[in-house]
Amino acid sequence: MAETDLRSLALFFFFAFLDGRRAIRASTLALSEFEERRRRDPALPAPVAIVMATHQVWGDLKSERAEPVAAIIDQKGWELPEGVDLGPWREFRRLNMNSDELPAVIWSRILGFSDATIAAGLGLSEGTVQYRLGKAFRMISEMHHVAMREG
Amino acid sequence: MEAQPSFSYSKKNKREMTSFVTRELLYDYLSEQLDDERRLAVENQLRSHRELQLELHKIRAGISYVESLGQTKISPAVLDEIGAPETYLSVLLKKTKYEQWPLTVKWGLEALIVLTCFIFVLVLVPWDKALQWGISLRGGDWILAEVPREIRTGTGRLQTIEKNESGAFEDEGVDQKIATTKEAIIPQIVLPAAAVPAIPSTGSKTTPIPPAAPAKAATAASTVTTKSVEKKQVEGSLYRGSLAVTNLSMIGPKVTEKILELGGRKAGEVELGWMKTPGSSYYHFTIPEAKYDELQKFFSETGQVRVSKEKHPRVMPEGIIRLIITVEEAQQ
Repeated sequence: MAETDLRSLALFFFFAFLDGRRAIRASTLALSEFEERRRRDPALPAPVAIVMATHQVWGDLKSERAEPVAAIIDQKGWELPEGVDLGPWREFRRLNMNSDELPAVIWSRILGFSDATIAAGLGLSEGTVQYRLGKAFRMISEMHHVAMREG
Repeated sequence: MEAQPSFSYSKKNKREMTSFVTRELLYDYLSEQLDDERRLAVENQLRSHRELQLELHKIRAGISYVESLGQTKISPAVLDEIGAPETYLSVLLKKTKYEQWPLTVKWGLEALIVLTCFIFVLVLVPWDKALQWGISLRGGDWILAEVPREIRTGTGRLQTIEKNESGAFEDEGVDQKIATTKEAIIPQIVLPAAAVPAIPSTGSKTTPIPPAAPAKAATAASTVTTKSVEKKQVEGSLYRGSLAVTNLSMIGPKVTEKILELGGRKAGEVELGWMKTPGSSYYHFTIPEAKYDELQKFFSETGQVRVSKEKHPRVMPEGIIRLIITVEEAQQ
């Protein structure tokens, strides 16, 4: 697996769980899933396989999502960009832990996958993906705006 | 070809987008997902609605914020850990899709494993040896109970001394009573008071305890009625005596108090100071041997004391002696 793909897996779960240790464990599971899918269908594009694998593992680890995250747990090895406040993201994650918007935002704007890739990975239409993203960003923008205003 | 008829969708002959719809399309506008018609409609709305412009600005800032999160750097160590070879257990768990099992099944399996380990430990560990090892660590012997020894009767057979089960009070060591019951024939060795060398006391007429006199004891043993003395295993002793006092009702409680003060405790069935007869109290007790002299002194100061030491099958622990003292009202 290419390092960029491995990085995509790791980033997805890091921002999904906000827990470095849990992210590594989930990434390991997703890596196996990814390799299995690529083995079954070698023509499957890597980004689509990543969406499928991460979506699968995220669904399997539903019970682990529910644990409250007061702050990032075990951040060793993960270096956030300087000056970036995780507050708006943490709040968005808390409110959308079990929704479809959270993974959609991660795939789209953190990992940089196109709407078509995401739609192909989830087996949905692009319009559905865009709707979810629009809904998510209206929420994120509000939280980010409040955080900026309050300093 | 005929020209297609044109339809009028609004009073102004053009479709106008509402601010609500515009707001919903702002993200698509920023993502350049809109067709030309809708893009122009959104731009038209943005020009005339200040709050939509603010909304657009917020969404743009939100997108920029989330995209900045994607700049997070991951150390090579973390990536190596993800791609590291898996252990046998992790491979097994992956093959069996353990993560997808229902929670109850997972808990049941874990409980089963714990129970199996527990049973193995119970079965395989030699608990009897472990307990013995634990006892030996504490060291020393434990005295659990005082048990009368078995003695050989005249026929050479061992016979256990049994308790009197009749329920009536019985003065231990009295020959005639023992001979009439199932109890074994206990060789009674009574040291005559005349053979006791007198030890000067503080003035009261008392007969002190005779010192150990093996030779005299051996002589006295010849008067024993049974032949079992030759094979005797009796090594216990009993101090038996009497104390004559004036005003028993007043002195009796003081005697009880003194015995308890010296560490004495009852050794028989009745309490200390039991009124055997209206004019006598019965004291059957044990006391540390080291305290005997003090007790003897107290008796001497209280009244006329007479005590003798007898052989008795009941063996006391080392350092402890047993006494039967009858406190009587002195004959005037």
